[in-house]
Amino acid sequence: MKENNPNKDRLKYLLFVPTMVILVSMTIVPFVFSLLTSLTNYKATEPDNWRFIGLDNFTRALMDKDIQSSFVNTLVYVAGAVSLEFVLGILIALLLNRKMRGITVIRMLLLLPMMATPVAVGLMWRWLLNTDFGIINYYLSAWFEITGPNWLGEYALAMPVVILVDVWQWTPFVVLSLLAGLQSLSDDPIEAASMDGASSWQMFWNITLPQLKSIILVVLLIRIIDAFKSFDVVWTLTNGGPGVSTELLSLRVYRVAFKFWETGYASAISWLFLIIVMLITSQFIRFLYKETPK
Amino acid sequence: MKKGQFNVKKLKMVLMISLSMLILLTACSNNSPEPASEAAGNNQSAAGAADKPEELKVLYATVEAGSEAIIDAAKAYEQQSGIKISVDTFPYNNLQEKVFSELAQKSDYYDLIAIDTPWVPKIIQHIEPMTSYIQNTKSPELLQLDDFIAKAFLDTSVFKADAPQQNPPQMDTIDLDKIVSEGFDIWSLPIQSNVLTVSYRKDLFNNEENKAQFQQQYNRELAVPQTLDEYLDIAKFFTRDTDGDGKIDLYGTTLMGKKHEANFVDFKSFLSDFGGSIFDDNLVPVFNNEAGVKALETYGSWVSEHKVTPPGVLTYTWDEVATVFGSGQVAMGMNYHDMKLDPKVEGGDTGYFVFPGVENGGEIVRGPHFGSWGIGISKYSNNKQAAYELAEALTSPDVQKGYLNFKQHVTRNSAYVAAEALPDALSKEYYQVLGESLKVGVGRPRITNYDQVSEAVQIAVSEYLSGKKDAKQALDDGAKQVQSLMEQAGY
Repeated sequence: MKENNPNKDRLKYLLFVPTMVILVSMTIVPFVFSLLTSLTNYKATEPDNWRFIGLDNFTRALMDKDIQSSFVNTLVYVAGAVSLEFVLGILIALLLNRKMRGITVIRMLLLLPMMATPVAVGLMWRWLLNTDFGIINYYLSAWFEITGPNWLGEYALAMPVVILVDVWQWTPFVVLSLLAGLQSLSDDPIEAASMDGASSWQMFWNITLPQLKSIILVVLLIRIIDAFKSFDVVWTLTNGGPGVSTELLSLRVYRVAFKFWETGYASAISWLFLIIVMLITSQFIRFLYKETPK
Repeated sequence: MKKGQFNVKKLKMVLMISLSMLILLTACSNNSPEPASEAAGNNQSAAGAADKPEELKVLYATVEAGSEAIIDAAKAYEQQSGIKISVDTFPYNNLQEKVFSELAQKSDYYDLIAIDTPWVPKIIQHIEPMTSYIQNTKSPELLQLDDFIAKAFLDTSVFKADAPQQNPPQMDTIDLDKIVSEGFDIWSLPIQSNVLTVSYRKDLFNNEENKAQFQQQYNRELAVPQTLDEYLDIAKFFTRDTDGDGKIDLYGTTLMGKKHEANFVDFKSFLSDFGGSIFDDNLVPVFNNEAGVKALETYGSWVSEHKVTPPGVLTYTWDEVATVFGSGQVAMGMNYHDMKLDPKVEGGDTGYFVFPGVENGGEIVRGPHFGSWGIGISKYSNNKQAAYELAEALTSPDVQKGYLNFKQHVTRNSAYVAAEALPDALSKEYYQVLGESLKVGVGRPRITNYDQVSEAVQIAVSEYLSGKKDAKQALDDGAKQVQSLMEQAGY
């Protein structure tokens, strides 16, 4: 048996302190501060002039039509982007999960959109989609003699376009994660099923997909959380417009906090936002644990 | 098990120690500044103690307020005074955040700060009133208040500390005594005034063929338009297919249709032309009245009915307008600076004119939006007197004349007189138009929740332009939202 050395223990905890200080100062303090702020009418521009107002900010947020519409927009955005990314991601992953020439180059190319900064992505697509100078409308006109629409200026088009830009950037992430999953699967069950005369669809539906379930859930979880937090691309593409058609909750929080300087109210909205995201993601996590073999 | 419990206990202790250390550190670093009233009272003594600081720091905008000119003037002041001048510049959005957070933290880092007019009601308690410094100026030849364009000065710099929403007394020449006697103070010195002007393709206007065709079509001469109706006629005239491929490649005009501050001030200019305003004297929103609906319908008709704007106009702000005009795709374009044509536009020549108006009772009513930048002293600066002297120098008559070399939108009458002697005819023309426009310009509402109100109007305009609502419905909904915002803000 090893003997406990108290000095060694003390050193161990002492070494632990800097990490804790950083963790507490970077995470817990802002977290607690934002919770306390959400219960006040605190404005960053008038730091001396605040008072506790209980849950007023929370009730105001729940009644606020701008918050309601931006919440609906966020749900549409997350559902649209993540489901498209998943469908396309799994199709492309299946396509790439075979021996073919140039596969390494394709995988490398797939990484490119993910590596780009979201603001740069937003700006790049803003110019590509520009009605008057954009390359997309130029080729629509030159090749198909179609007058391209005002992609970001039309109420009905703006949200689908914003979703497609997110799909462009993040589908590769889904592809690479699922591809890694596919390549880790054993070939034996597929071979056995094949010898039993199962069709490709039957093999995919009954063997491949169930085995990938855990990875799919993790990928969806990451993408859902990320999509809920989307800000830069939408901000640079549409600034939430036209009207409020692409105003996501993240944009609303930013506007309330840093344009209108209603810090207390913005904190309350952020907390409501966090609770909603946690409720949704906790369902995924629960499902994930249920599915993971013990 | 016991060992585990012991470890958790220790872990809790470490956490507690860490948290306490952090709280202690936070408490220690909270250098509570002196109360605002005391700080205001101590100006002169503080100024006396730190008469000549080693360095003055200026927080300034980039292109929005002509940073090149200011940096150049600051260098000259540095040589003359021996005080090092550091100018930090930020683009508009970043600057707003920087200014607000610096002031909210009561930071003494910056001495002088560039202030956009709509920010003033929100940050007035953090700015040092300049009135007493002006009254005790050591350099009246640099100050010359009566030389400032009165309209720009009153809109930018004159506010009541406890009621910033109140408009100052109107006057043609700045009268400090009158301003003070009515309870107002001066909070900054105006350094740049931006106003909506129109840039146009002079080469197209002067083309003999165009002139003859226009005369035949509209029974009048093709000339700079005075009214919005005349402007629309010219815009319609120039909207055409120039290369015969069956597609329109030249449009009459630009607008700023994106949901953005640019769109709010664009609509506000039309609204003022039609005799409307965002608020009445009691700060009740009235932009949904007859004038507002007429203004919005006129604005929208250029896009959807007459189609005299490029197809992408609903995504335009001031940047896109400058690009489109520069590329030669439009005959006329409205913006807040002198737009230039790309050298690739063959035979292109630019001219400028004042934003047209609407005829009302035999008079033409014009209301181009204007917004000015002031340069103000941070209440938390340790070098207030020196900062004031720098502000005075940066806005002085001679320095403003030097700003003409940088195309700065100067704020003094004497600078506009000096601009008449500029060798470059185009610059001369622009300054003439700028000066005239400033005289008829209409500023922004003076409210603490300006950004929220602006956004509500932007949404209303955007919903009309994108066809979601009709003009009356969109404006009524916007006005309802603005009313509720005003109530929330305590008006």
